[in-house]
Amino acid sequence: MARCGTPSKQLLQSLRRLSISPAANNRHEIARAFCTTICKCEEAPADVAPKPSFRRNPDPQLVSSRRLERRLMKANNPPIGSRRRRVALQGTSGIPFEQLPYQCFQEARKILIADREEKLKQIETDRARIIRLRDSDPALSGGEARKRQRLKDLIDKLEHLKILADINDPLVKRRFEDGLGDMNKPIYRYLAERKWREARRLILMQRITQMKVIPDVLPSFEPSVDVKLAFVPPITFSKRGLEYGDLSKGIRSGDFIYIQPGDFVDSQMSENPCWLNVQSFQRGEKLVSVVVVDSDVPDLRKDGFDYRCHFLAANIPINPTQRTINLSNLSKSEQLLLPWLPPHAQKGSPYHRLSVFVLQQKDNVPIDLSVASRHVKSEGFILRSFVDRHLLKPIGVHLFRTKWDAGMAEVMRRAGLEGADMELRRVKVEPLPYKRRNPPSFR
Amino acid sequence: MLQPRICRPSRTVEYSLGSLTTSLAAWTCTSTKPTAPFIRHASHATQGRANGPKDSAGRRLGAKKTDSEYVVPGNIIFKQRGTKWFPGENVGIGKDHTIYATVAGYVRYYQDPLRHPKRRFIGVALERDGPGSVLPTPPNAATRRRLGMYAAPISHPPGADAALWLESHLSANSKTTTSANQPSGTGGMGLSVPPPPVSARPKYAQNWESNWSIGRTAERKGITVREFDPKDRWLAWRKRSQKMKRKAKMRSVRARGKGKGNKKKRPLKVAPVVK
Repeated sequence: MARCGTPSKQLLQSLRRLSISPAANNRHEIARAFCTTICKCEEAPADVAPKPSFRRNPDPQLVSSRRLERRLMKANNPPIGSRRRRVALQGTSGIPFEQLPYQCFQEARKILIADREEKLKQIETDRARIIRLRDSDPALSGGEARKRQRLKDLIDKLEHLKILADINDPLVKRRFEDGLGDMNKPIYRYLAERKWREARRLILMQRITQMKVIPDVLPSFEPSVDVKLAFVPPITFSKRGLEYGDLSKGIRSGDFIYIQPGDFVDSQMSENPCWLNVQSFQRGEKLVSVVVVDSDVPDLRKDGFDYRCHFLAANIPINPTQRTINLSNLSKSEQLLLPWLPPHAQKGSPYHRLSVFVLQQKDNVPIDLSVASRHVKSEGFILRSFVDRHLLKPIGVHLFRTKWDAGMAEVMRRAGLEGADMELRRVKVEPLPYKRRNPPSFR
Repeated sequence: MLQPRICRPSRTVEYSLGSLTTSLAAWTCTSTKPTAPFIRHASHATQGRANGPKDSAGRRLGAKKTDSEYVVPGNIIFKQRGTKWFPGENVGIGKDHTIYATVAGYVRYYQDPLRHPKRRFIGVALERDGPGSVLPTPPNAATRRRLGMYAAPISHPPGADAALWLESHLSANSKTTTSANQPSGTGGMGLSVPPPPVSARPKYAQNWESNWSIGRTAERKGITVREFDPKDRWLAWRKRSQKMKRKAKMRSVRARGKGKGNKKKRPLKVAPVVK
């Protein structure tokens, strides 16, 4: 049987402290639960200036009511993480993550910190090795080609080490999931690319192969940047179609509407040029061209289909942090080759696929527009030959579709396009004549 | 099935007698038992229709169109059990694996090792001869398609179309705002829902109103219904309880009708209607 002696003085004191101030909302409370001395924050009460109320000044880390969330969204300071997490965080005492008083956790952190130290040391040695190899004589390291290969291997290894140093850090993971990661750092670029490859890229590849963009517009390619496409509709839409004036639901005029790859886009929404968000996962700046191609232009004379270029611009700089491209805001003298032509489809014609391609220019050499514009024409635009002529490398793609809808005639009239008064009808295929085989035997 | 007991003598006798019985006694005991003769009864009929008719009529399977024969959409090219042949370009496959054409063209029987190393395909080429008539198509080339359409003047001119569309999509409560945002093309028409149009019908049915027009009666009269809010559980509860009361009332009425009058007359309960 256990001894039932009197409890120790220390234990009693700490218990009393707990019972006296159970609702004390001081931070670091738990960490000091077993201390005999008085907490510092209890010593100096009401010394600081009174904080503005939570309602007035909501914290994006902790806000959970929808109204306050909406207010934060309007102030361009969106709430961080899920609502569930924010509610859970409200009930905690706000101890910094590194100071959580769990022994196992702290032991695990020590291991991770030691591992990081080791990786940093390796990075230092590799950096020194790269510098030494760069300066060395190629004859010593086995020829020019061998030296170049070794240098490349070392740099790859260095980049990999940089990722390994931070990949196990829980704070890095949290910052990335909250969308606060700095894309200038290799670890956040790595995590973003992994996330993109796990879902969005797979969907994109499925859409462009199922809708035959890949053999129809370009033979084949592997996307390496994440492209998002958004329209800013000039009027208000509902799910059924456009709805003048009813602002209570659906898409409002001026909203940013992100389009999923392969979505049908209303003609009035796509009347104005779109916005692109091109997320590159490699370090440094890239010079890209952006092309929008319609690969389903009906050609009655040929009894087939033709291509048409709806937009063409070159020499657009992108880097991991500078992602947005506003197609309506490009410089006419240095970037724009063909201005935006609203996507349109005649009544009765099969849907038109409009693929948006992001093409990387070789060695970041800008394209001379005066030369390029001589060969470029909108009708019958073949992207394959454009890519070959300017030594471009396709790195990103997006796709949307358009078909005849209620506002198409107006859009075509405003853009000065012919053909809204005609519709396409299917040619009836005559059935084969019925052949009666060996008639006498049927009698 | 009966198993002949030959090998295994019964040991139960031995155990029951205990240690007193010798093995010799056990031997004599078992040897007196008669062994059953080995019989195999028939469990499966061998004659008659038992094993299924083997001489049914032929199913008329096989190729219906030969290579490079002209087909139109819907023509059956091959009938088969299972997929002896797979659908290639411009053909479809039915639920009984019948291969049929989906465009007008010329039949091709081919293999496509890049698509599948072992499968045989049936396709329809758009051209009879020349490079465009070869199947399979090269892997990275643009798809060959036929438009198969002609241009004709539009059946509903765009202006009228937009007006019709606007009418059908406007609800009564969005009238005031619409006139301000209206596009210039549709003109300043009165934005009221039109009366039911008169259609060509037999004489006796001249005054019938069509179903779609009946469905829009409320819209014509300008009646608006409160929008359904799935989160408004209070209203849902009130409606549900109202419905249950109504049902109970109906049940009581029915029960009174069924009884042949000799039952006690119950008072009719009427629930107040919640609005």
